[in-house]
Amino acid sequence: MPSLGEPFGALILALGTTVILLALGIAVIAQGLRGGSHPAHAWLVRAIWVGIVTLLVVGVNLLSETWTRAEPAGTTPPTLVAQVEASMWRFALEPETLPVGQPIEFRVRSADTIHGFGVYDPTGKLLFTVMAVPGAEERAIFTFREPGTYTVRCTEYCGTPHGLMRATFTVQGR
Amino acid sequence: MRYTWKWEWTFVSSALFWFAIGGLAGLLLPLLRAFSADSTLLRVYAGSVTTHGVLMVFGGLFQLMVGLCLLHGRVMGGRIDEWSTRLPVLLWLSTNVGLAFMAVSVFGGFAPSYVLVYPLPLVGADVALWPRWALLIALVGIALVLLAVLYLYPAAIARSLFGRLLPTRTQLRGLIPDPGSLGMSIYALVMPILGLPVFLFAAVVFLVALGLLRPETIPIATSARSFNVAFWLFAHNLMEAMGIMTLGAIYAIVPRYTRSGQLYSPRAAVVAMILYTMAAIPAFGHHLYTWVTGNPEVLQNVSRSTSWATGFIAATLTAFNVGLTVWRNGLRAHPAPLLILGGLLLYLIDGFVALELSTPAWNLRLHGTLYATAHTMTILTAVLLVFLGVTYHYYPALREYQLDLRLGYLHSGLSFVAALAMFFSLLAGGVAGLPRRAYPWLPDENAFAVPLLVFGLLFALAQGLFAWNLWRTERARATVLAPAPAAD
Repeated sequence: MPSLGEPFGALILALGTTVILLALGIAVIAQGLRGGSHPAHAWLVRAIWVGIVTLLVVGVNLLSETWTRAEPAGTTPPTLVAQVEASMWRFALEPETLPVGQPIEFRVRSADTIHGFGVYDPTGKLLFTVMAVPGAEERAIFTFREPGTYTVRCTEYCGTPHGLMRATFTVQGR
Repeated sequence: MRYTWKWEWTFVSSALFWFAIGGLAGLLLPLLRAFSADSTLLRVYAGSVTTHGVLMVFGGLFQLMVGLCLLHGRVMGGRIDEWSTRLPVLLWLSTNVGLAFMAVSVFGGFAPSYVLVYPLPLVGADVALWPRWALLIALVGIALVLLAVLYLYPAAIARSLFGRLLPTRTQLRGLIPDPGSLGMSIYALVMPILGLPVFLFAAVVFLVALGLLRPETIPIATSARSFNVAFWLFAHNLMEAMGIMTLGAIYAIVPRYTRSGQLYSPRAAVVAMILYTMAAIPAFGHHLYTWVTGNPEVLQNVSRSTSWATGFIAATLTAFNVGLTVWRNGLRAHPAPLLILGGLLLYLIDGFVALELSTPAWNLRLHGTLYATAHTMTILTAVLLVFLGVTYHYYPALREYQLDLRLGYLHSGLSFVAALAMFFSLLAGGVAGLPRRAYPWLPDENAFAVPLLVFGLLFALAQGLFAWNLWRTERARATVLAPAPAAD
């Protein structure tokens, strides 16, 4: 069962919201085309609707604080630093082999224009993205849970060969 | 009367022209996945991405809104003087000459996509990705379009609504019962201010591109960080301002197709539009979450809470108000309210995905993928559906004829279904981690292009029906309005 915090969870929640909104929308339009009617307790309908939306807004935001993600540097003490330089149209990673289960601080820089440092696990799932901005260093901490060959793809448009800007690195067990 | 309304129709027909070109460029994007990428196709793809984005947003949607909003302003305010014609002429020239410059630059190889991702335009010229002349022409085009969007359009709105640039207090109070004009006034008030930084920074970048200024002379304008903050302050709020005008159009038009002709709560509509504007402005920071270090946590929290606040306001105030208006007062069947309500529904459905992307934990795994494309494209499609509905509503006022309603129903239904299907096709690609604006994808990812192409064609077919409807009606109108042949 995937967590709600995974991208697939976001899709399921979007699908559920769509079904509810479509059902309500079609019901309202159908009722309107039939000539409409005065709802008996408009205030109650309003209160229920506001309550549902409030629960959704507060619930998702509170839950999202517990979801796994790349953290800004300083939140977890890293045990290893990985230097990443993005340039048209390649990534240079140092070191190219990283350990499982240890917080790793990625220091991401760009040599020319904006790039996106998107890290994909061996199954092709996107784990996190960091924007590489020229003139600045972005630091994000992530802990890998599985060994294997991970792929990096650029996630910010950086010119014609943007789709070809890829690299790989290895995560090894202890 | 027909003469003074000529410019509004010119905007609408220019919008349709650019929509056609931009739409064809959009269909190329999934189609190119069927071929193995070489250097030519890489350029064709990048050019199509840029053309599609720029033309659909500024050539099509913006001009459609301009034409219909100026007509609405004229109808509500009724101010007609020499500036009522001069400003729209300047606005039309600035927009369309700017777009023509940008089209020429794309043919010359300039293809930084429609969000520019500064400093790519300059760097691309430095590494000979595109010629410098194409960059310079593009910058002139961008300046003209920005001038139109940020200053000429607000000025034209103000002149058409109030007969002056700054409204009097009485005129401001007069906006309360007219949400359509209120939405336009909010655009006219916020965009000249929120767009000023990017306008000034772009001017500095132009001087740098010409070699007249060194980038380090004014670093605040030329650094990637500050330029992108200014860019997103503008671009995010341009979308929101267009969204607020859209809400205004929904509030103004839907009740006209009900028995009472009144909104359930006009006061709630005004409150919603003002609160929405206040929440939307600081929400732009959610575009910068993937600056994990560079984006201060306080800005992230402000962006996140204000983004969710916009969704809360739209769902609890706008959707409820419009829904109850229709439920209580009935709805007369007509393509105008159906397209507008379909657009509102799509706006709300997509709005939830926008809120997901405003949540840092999701954003760090979905930003830069087709999930974000799904949001951008669908919010614009929702606005398009609403303004197509407004076109059906105002067409008799513009052209003294009525469009074929049966074709209109087919147009509205097909457009909604195709837009929703494209939305979910893009969301599925985003969840699979497909980077946006990337060509080629990995071989096993190309299957995601099939539904995009199929539903894209379906959407194009729906718009083809609309074009056919317009052409038939215009032909009938020309026949009737043509002078009778002189008798021998």
